[in-house]
Amino acid sequence: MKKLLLALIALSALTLTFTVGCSHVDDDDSAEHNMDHGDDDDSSMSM
Amino acid sequence: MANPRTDLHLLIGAAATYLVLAIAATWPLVLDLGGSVSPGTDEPATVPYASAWALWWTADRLPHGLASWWDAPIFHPQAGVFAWSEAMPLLGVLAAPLRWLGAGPIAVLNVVLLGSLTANGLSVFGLGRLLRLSPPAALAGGAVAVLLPVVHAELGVPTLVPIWPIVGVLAAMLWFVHAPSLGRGALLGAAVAAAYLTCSQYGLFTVIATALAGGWLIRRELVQPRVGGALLLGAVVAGLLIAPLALAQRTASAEAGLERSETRALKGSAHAQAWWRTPWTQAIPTPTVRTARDPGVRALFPGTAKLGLALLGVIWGMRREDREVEVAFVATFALVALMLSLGPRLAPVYALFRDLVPGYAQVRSLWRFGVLAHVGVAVLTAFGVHALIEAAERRGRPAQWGAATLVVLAVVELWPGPVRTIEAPSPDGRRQTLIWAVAQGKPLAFLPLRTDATAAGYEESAAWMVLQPEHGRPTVNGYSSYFPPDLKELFDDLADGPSRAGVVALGKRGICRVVVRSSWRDRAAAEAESAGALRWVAGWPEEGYDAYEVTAGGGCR
Repeated sequence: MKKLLLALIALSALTLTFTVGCSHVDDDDSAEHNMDHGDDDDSSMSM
Repeated sequence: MANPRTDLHLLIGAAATYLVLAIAATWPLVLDLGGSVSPGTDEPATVPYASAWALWWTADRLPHGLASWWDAPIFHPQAGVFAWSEAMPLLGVLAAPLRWLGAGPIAVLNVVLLGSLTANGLSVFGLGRLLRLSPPAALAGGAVAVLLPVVHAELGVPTLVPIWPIVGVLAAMLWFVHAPSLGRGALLGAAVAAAYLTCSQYGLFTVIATALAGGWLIRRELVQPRVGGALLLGAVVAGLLIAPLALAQRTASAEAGLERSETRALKGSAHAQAWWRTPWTQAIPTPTVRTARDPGVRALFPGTAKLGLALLGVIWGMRREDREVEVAFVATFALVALMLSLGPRLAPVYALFRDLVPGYAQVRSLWRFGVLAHVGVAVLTAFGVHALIEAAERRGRPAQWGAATLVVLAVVELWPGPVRTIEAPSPDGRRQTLIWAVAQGKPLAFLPLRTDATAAGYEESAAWMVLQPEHGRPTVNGYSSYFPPDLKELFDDLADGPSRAGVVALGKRGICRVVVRSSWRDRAAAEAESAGALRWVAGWPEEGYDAYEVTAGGGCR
């Protein structure tokens, strides 16, 4: 039972991540920089 | 559950091994601990400087009972600014003795970095032993934790390097549910507080992910008032320790409207592609996994050997009645973190947490949930190594060599790329300017305040923050997670030189002396552009700075 439940959680998490996670596709991976600080919509920086 | 008092020799050996790994992975940082910083995968040293300053500020205030701690001397005259960024109070307190022994802010920062990487390894080692894993398996899990690629990619953001408090919460939770008691409840509360007081973001994320994964740990015997009482004590301990910081953050947030828009949070969340990227080339070529063209790009794939071993650990654990709950808990913790790293992409969940969880709306980089997933992978890798060793022992020497090779691969498969170091600002290069600054006895502005709106544009201001122990003057300059909203106008007014409007605004902020980098504006340009609002008073050509009196805006009157 526990194995089944964990398998279900894993399946849901992975499916969601790799389907929903692909929304708002941005082919330019520079948009995903770790440290994308800068003056933005709320004039705040990253730390 | 095993006795957590592991063999002392083993612990010392593990600590020494992890320290060597940490030094090797950050080479050549150790060669100039007091003079250089690593920006990690970022370009400028702005964040390391600001972090070194934050650690110094806590060490400076501790002997005074933390008086004025919130009113850190940046963004003058704004009060309460220390709550506008990660204050790292626990790291500040732990590192303070180094400062009192005479270490400079940069040396303290670098020791904290190396110490944190070592502690990351020790925490997973300790958790592994707590979970009855063999010493080699616990050691391997710890080594994986020292070299987690996601941590090394963030070496330039020192707040994000210590993952040991996250592991500490996992350990305290498992320790508590094994045999609940008031003492263990209090320890769990202290562990949660330690996580929050090291890095508020990690603390918040850890509470959410452990709460969602914690269902696995509930069993019939735990449903009784005594356990509830112990948990309540833990909540009180955590609340009391966290409250001063959390309340200050809440006040700052409410007063200045500090909140991230959903658009901003989306930019700061992980795209599914990020989970198929590595920051550096990994040892095992794997189809569909690619190397980021720039190590600074979000890259969250933890490594093929690690994932393989973690999966083996899950399968092995789920087939054993005495292990399945622990393994399921850690695996769910990692999976929950994986999902939450998507931020607003997982719209209903994001909306729910943003509404319900205090602090969630203030988080900019939800992709950092991914760090928790990596922590889970490191712990599960230790389980996998345990299973692998068990299997190899039954199959003779070639299998043992094969197993050893795989374990080593899991540790080093994503060895951090070459660590870039940047020479930190030295007081020696600005000695006369600093002497003059000290003599003023009043708040100052060092121009330019910023050269552009990126982190690099604030590097110069952050350098003056690092030198604050030398000049001792509150400054308008600063760098932080959030900025006082009214500063934006001042930044704009001073973006293209010391305009009269900008200098008048400085005067109104109580600034009557400014230091200007001569290569930005020389004396003639500064006086002309300010239309007489600045009057030259001193200069140090060999250091490249001029000092001016503000004659407008009421600063000196």
